Amino acid sequence: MAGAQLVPGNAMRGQTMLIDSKAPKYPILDGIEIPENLLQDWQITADLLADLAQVPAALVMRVHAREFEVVVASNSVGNVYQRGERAPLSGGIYCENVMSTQNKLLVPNALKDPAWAHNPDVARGMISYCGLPLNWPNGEPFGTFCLLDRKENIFGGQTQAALQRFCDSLQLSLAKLYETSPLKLHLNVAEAEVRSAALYARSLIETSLDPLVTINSEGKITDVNEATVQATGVSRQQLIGSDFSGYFTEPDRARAGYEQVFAKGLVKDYPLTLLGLSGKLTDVLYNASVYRNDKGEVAGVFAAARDITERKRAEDELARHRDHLEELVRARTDELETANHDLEGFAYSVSHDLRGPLRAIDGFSRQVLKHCADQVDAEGQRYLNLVRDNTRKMSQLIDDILAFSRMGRLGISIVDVDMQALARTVFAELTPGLAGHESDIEIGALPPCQGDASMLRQVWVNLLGNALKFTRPKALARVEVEGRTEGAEAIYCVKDNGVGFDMQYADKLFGVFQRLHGIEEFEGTGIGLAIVKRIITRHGGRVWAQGQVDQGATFCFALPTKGKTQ
Amino acid sequence: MTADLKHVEILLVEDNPTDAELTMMALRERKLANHLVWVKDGAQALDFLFARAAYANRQNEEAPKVVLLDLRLPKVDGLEVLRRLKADERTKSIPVAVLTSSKEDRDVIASYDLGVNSFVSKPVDFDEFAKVVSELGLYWLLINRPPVRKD
Repeated sequence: MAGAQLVPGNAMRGQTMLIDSKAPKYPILDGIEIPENLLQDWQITADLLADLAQVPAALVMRVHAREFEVVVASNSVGNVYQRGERAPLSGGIYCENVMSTQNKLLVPNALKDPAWAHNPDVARGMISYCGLPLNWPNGEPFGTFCLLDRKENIFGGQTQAALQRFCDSLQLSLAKLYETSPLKLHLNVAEAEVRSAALYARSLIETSLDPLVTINSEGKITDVNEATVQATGVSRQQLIGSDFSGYFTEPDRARAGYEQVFAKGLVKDYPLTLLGLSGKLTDVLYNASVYRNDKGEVAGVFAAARDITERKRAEDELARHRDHLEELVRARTDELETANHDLEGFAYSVSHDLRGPLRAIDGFSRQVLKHCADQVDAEGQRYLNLVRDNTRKMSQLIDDILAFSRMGRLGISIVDVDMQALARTVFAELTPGLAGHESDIEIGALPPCQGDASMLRQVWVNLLGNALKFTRPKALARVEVEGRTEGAEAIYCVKDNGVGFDMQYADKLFGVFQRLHGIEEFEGTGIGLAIVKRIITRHGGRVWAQGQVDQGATFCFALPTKGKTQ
Repeated sequence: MTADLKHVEILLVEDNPTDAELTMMALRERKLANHLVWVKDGAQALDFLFARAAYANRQNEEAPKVVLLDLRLPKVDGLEVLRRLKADERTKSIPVAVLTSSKEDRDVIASYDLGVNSFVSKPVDFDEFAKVVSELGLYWLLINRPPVRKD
């Protein structure tokens, strides 16, 4: 059974998209058979009526999908029609007019009436007609009951009243038939199901929080849900039939949107801004596609709007925060750059300006010692030599401060570093005269790492240099260099059997100018480990030390295996 | 410094009188300071080398055998003096030795980019300083052979 004629409820009736030209012209209950005993009953009625009216033909006509069928033809003299005979629909016969108007048709003389002069029944000699519609109790057409005559006839007297009475009685029998028809029961269930499915679909549409509309090819709204009413502030009655594009801040873009749907079949996340009656703006994303009728022809566009006001607000806020953050970072970077620049200027001044006076102090002390020696006694000469010693120390301090500062200022260029080769090279450079003493030194397998090669070189210079320096008093100096990978870190340790240190001072080891030994014992300004710490920290690593007085010391550093530098 | 502007062998460009004296002291020990002129800023150095202003009467005199140039100078700084000397046909072949307290890489690089002939960091220790300066003087005055131009 084609679904089209079973559309329930008035809301959907009349939507042209649901009418199929190949479908039956009239909604019919073609499936209900008329039982033979009923047909015989109708036959008696028809015969009686033809006799009463003195006409050659009284007919019961039934409409089918494409044609009329003569189900009963009166057994009267001169009847040109026979039971079972069929006539096509749209052929122009009298009965069709009754069917479509659902009204009585009276044609006293078709030959005098231009509208009827050429109808098929006239060709068969029937020039006058009187017919009434016959319907099923649910209002759907069954056909007609009619009288025809070969002479002019106004079907006067009691004829029309009799026709009406007989018609009513036929209709009653149809009603009885309809009630007891198994098809009817089945139909009721199907209708109920369709009705409830439609109701269900409708309530889904109505409860949707997204404004939903259907649009026809002219861009007119054909249906809306409650959310659309809420979003626009316009009533359903006003919305339906109006221009879809008229409810947006950019009507041209809206029009382009549904035209795109008609052209391509669908659009996704098409951004528009709904303009409500009150001026309220709603940012929406449209997802729309065409829908088709039974024949697969495009019938219109179904468009669903997703309200993204909240999302957009959140996005805007996020963007604002991000901008603010970027601004902060920029400001902080500027500050840092300024500070770095100042520091660089300071370091430059130190290197340039502090050395000059020192050189003068040293130079003129020497001049006195050299050229005025006879005027300065031995004690005075010793003092002048102390002055010179201290200018040299101060000069060394200046150099160390600059070296330390440089390690903080210089950019780091990360490369793959073979730590084992680097440690060996540095060690060889530090001990040019100790080639024969290598048995005291053990450089194990060291994992490679990523870092600034020249800075890491400085780390080895300082750590190995310290190990050599502080093992000097030992009869047999031992220095071991070990390495391993642990988790996301490469760890390197330099272990010596030197003078060691007291662990209670361990936290001072890596500070600037911190010394744990007297200058007479071991030379140095106390900057070496501070530089080591600064370099390793800038590589995102860490340093630590362990030791015991006279039992040696172990200095370790760890570098992240995935380069993370500051 | 010295009135004899005809046979200048060393032009010392140094704003600090103490440093200038130490430099001359070191050169004098090796008898290298006899034909030395000392100017105190970059502008004076350029006037001398291009024979203008106070030094206009040097028109036809020989160029110095070496310019000992400090970098931090009043008016026109050392790098600018170097740039102008090396950019001018008349002066670009005059040897210039930068003699400075700076050990900064950027100064070394900038000087060489401008075509410096030698870059020397002054040691703080005077003995070392005296040694470096006298060797520098010896090299440029006695060992180096300058180009001879016949134009």
